[in-house]
Amino acid sequence: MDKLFVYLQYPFVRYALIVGVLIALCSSLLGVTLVLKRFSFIGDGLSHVAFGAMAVAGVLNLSNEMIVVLPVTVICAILLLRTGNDTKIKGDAAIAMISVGALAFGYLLMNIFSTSANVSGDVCSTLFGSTSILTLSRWEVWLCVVLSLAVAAIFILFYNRIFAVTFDENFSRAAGVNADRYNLLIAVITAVIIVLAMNLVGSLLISALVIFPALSAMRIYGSFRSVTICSAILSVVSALGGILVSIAFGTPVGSTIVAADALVFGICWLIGSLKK
Amino acid sequence: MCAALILLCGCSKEEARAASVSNQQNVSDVIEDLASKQEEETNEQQPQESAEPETAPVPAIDESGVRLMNCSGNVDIDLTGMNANMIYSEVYNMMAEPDAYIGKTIRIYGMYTHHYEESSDRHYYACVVRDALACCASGLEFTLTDDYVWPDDYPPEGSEIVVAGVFEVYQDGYFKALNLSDAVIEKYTPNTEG
Repeated sequence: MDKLFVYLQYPFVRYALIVGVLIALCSSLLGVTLVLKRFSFIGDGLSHVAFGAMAVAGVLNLSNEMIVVLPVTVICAILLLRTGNDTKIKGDAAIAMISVGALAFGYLLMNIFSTSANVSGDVCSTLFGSTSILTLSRWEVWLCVVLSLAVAAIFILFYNRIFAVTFDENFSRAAGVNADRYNLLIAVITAVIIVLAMNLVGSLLISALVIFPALSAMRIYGSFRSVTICSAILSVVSALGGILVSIAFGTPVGSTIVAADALVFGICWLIGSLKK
Repeated sequence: MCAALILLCGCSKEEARAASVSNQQNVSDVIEDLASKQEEETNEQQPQESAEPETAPVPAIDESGVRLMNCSGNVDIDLTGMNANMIYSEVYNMMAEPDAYIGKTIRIYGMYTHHYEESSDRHYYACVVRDALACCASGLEFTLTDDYVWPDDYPPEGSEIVVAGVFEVYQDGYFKALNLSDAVIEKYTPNTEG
């Protein structure tokens, strides 16, 4: 415990906790919507797209990768979330195709046009998060704070419309809600969260941040509002616990957070079973 | 009088003594008084001075033939008690913001590695630290003191070492490089206090 307090004096540990909590909060807010819209796997697909975009940014030697990563991920999110209606390649197939395609191209580019002496290290770090969350600069922390607050504000502001679009798109259209616009909004927010979350848990584990808290909350509560609030609390607690455990015991940050999420899901499943 | 003044000024202890001098004493009394007090103090300090060599750097040789020494100055940043994540992150920060660490004495625990650059005929020695996943590594180059003779006093490649030295930044060709100068290799003792 004393060791943990000593570690907390380091600025990069405090940055990690701030960013971790904010990302966990944002991902859980949107997680409920994505799970209910049957887009649980979109986090995985978009994170692979972000990985590919990051590889391109690396090849182009850009000091600020966000310039490439964020727009590319947003465009792909829009394409994926709009596939439901008028496309030949439907939902899960489109996600799988873009996901593995971006991953393969990203890795290929990183190998052929390598600008780093440690390609395997870079790949491993991007896929599994590694210690990226502990090596954030002040600029990255501020960017994350601003984007997270924007995401939370948009969600709260458009809560009713997002709720309507989530449960019944056709009904909300009939009621005069511009469903396409809100689907676009959800796609953009999802992309922003995915790009931010890559620092926390890496590409391969992002889906856990989106899915686990929402599913855990659904074991206990039934209403959209209760599930959303419970999901946010569980996600923040799991992220905080996971980061603290990984700092104290030297375990990999991303996988420790996901393990904490899985543990919380197990507890919620038990509570849900007892309630019935 | 001048002699007395010269003797009395300098640091706070002497100032305190000056305050205790009575106006009724003459110069020779004061000098005698001070001389006897100083002799007493010197006698009291002697055991401490004789104990100093025990804490001074004492070269030793470990099982692998590496010369072990103690760092002469105070260590500002001790990374030896930290886990892999924390060491990796702190070293990463040193590379990202080196100015904040210049002049500080740093003690680090990691894997010893050596590289010889033929073009510049220069040896590079580094202590490499891996993160918890063991896929990412960051390291610090170090330059041992002149007490170390290459290659006899240097550790075997890949061995775990503790190095302490003063952090500095230097220009190596086109690159800004980090280095622990006047470094010594110390005996590894797990620091449980963190």
